[in-house]
Amino acid sequence: MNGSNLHVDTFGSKGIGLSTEERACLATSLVGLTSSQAFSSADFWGKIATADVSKDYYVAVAYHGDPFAPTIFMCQDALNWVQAPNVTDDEMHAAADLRAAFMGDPAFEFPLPNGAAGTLPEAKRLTAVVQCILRDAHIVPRGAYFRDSLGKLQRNATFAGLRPHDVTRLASYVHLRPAATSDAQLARPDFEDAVDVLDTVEHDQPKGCWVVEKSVMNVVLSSLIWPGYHHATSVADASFASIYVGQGKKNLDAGFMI
Amino acid sequence: MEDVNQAKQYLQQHSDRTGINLYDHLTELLAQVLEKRPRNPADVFENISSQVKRDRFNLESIQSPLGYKKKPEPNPSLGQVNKLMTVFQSVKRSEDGNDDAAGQVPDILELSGLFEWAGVSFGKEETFLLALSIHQLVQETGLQSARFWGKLSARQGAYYVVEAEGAPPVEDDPEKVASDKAAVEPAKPPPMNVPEFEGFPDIKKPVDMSLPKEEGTGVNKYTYFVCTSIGEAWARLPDLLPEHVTAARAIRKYLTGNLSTPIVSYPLFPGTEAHFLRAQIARITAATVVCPLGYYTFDPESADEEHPETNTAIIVNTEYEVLPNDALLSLENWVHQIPHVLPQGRTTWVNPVKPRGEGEDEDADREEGEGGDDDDVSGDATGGGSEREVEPETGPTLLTSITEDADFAGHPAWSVRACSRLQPSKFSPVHLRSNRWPGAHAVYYNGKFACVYVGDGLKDLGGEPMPMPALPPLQVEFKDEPLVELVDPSVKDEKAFEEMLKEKEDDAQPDEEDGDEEPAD
Repeated sequence: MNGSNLHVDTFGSKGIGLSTEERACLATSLVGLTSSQAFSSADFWGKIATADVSKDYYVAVAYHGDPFAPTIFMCQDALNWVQAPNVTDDEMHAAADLRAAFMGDPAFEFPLPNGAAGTLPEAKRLTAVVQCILRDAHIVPRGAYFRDSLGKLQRNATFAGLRPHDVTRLASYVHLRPAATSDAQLARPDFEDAVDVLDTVEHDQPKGCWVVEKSVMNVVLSSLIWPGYHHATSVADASFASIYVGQGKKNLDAGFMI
Repeated sequence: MEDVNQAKQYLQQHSDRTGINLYDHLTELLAQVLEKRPRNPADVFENISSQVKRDRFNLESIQSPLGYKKKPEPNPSLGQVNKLMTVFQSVKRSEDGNDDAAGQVPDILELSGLFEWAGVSFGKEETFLLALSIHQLVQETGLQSARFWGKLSARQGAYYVVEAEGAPPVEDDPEKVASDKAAVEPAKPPPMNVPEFEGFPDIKKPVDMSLPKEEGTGVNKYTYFVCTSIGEAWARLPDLLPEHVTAARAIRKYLTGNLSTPIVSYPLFPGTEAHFLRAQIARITAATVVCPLGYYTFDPESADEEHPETNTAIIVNTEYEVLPNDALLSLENWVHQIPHVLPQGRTTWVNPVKPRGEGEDEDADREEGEGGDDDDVSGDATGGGSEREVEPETGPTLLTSITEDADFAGHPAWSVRACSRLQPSKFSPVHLRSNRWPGAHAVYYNGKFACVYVGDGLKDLGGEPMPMPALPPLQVEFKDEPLVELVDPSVKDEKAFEEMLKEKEDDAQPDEEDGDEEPAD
């Protein structure tokens, strides 16, 4: 995520774009956000649509250098960012099961799903949803991150993009999260132990939950589990970007609809 | 010096595993670093080292970065690009520029600027190609007017949809319709060549219980063309039958991107993806295509004298006063432009129970009486044979304000905003978004307005779980009445009984006039 998701044409094939005013506000306010707490980077993560279109949330994610430890910021006007509250694991699971729409009021309380007692305020639901999406759906091209000799995951500064015949294959994209499976060694003939430390997208369940759409300029992968998450990799150069523009609801019925 | 020479000799030892030596490797490595001058060279040192090792086995030059092949591979996008080139070369400009009557297409590039304010944008180049493609479609098919309806996402690709008026009618091929139906019904066995046998009664044709489709009006007023990517040929979607709408309302499936895919679902959908897509387009259009209040008015000339309230012809209001952007922020100033689709699947109601007394025999009447229970408005099922009183279904009339739309999951069905928070309102377009159909947007700016749909074509669940239709109830076993076993009469007994009856008849015959007294068996 290097700011290219702000460009109006990146996700054009999905019909997603930001207005000029939004782009202007985001580009400037994110720079301020980065320097406010000395983050190494702050990226525009996406928008969560609410029941009231004038109160949609803009979400930004900032890092101190560790791609697995994001700090989540939200705002409703693309200018004044507020850090979203932290959530526990239980709250994360609860938020993935909620079916009600976001209301646009950060203090709104949602009753917990599945009959559990208690409520979840909307601000926490937002953090939980963003973290769920980062864990379940956020992908990067294979080779963009590598584990260096000290075992730390780093952004690959010499990443030159995916090859043209690889760019539409699901095995060329990996989840940016601590790897769940350790059998990556058996998976591919061009295995590299520095790069193949993350799970690929190929075996995500249910089968068919990733939609690949190729246009002349880039290839966009969209998730059907979290509808609204898109990842674009350029075919010409090494840039890639992710964005989420959706309602913040997991598609719990994906298996029935595919 | 000795140490240095020894060290150099050591470094030039070839590895027995890979055949490289460290001295050459370091030389190449430093040469690359000095050539490329990356940021933080010490940090990416290992990376460059492994890259050099990888590239060493390339027969081509080593200075190329990973992924670059000197051998020119055919560009995988070439197929797509070739199709796009046909779009560039297809549009012919008319010499005298007379396009007032036929082939009206709104200014798509201008509208795309409006939609970008609403957050819907296809990218300038793609929008331009789309506009060219639509012009090509209008010219080739001879359409009266066309509008870009939207883009539906599918599992492999997407559908661009164009709504057109005045498309030349397609011969409703009964064989084609039958073949569509045969695709979903089990194949009937081929008729056997049996000689005429007078003994059997005539086989009655099954009564077609489906409702008539609306020809050219109502849901089928517009024709829809789809293509899966810009440059592909536009495919025409079939007209909508009412049963497609009722079936589409009950299922929830993603589109696949191929119009002939069968829809595998429960309850069964009588058609392929083309019909499902058409049904969803009709539902979305009826629910979400809106216009500012006062822009259209009912056409007084086409009002039906008997039913003035069911007038569905609207024309542009010549006395329309352009409302300022502020006024469109209140939902009362938006009205529906398309007639509502009734639960029946049509926009005008048709009595599914055919009236009696048309010379049909009793069996057909009884069948119709039993078949007329697909209406969920009237609930009394009084058994076969009687004419059911079916209440006509009604829906909101045309040009009603969207504030009348029922609330959805506890909040209003529509929400509206001024797209620009920072600019004065006369420079800020107004963006209206539907909650019931996420992806339906309408934008208004100083008298110009347009609607578009970008989404997956499915209605929002509204906080409820996906509806799973209940299976029909299990058949109940018969009540446990005591079974009485009868003795089967033997042949002798039967013959004796028949003779006894015959004697009775012979006795009774001289007394009767009309001989229709049947023996009580």
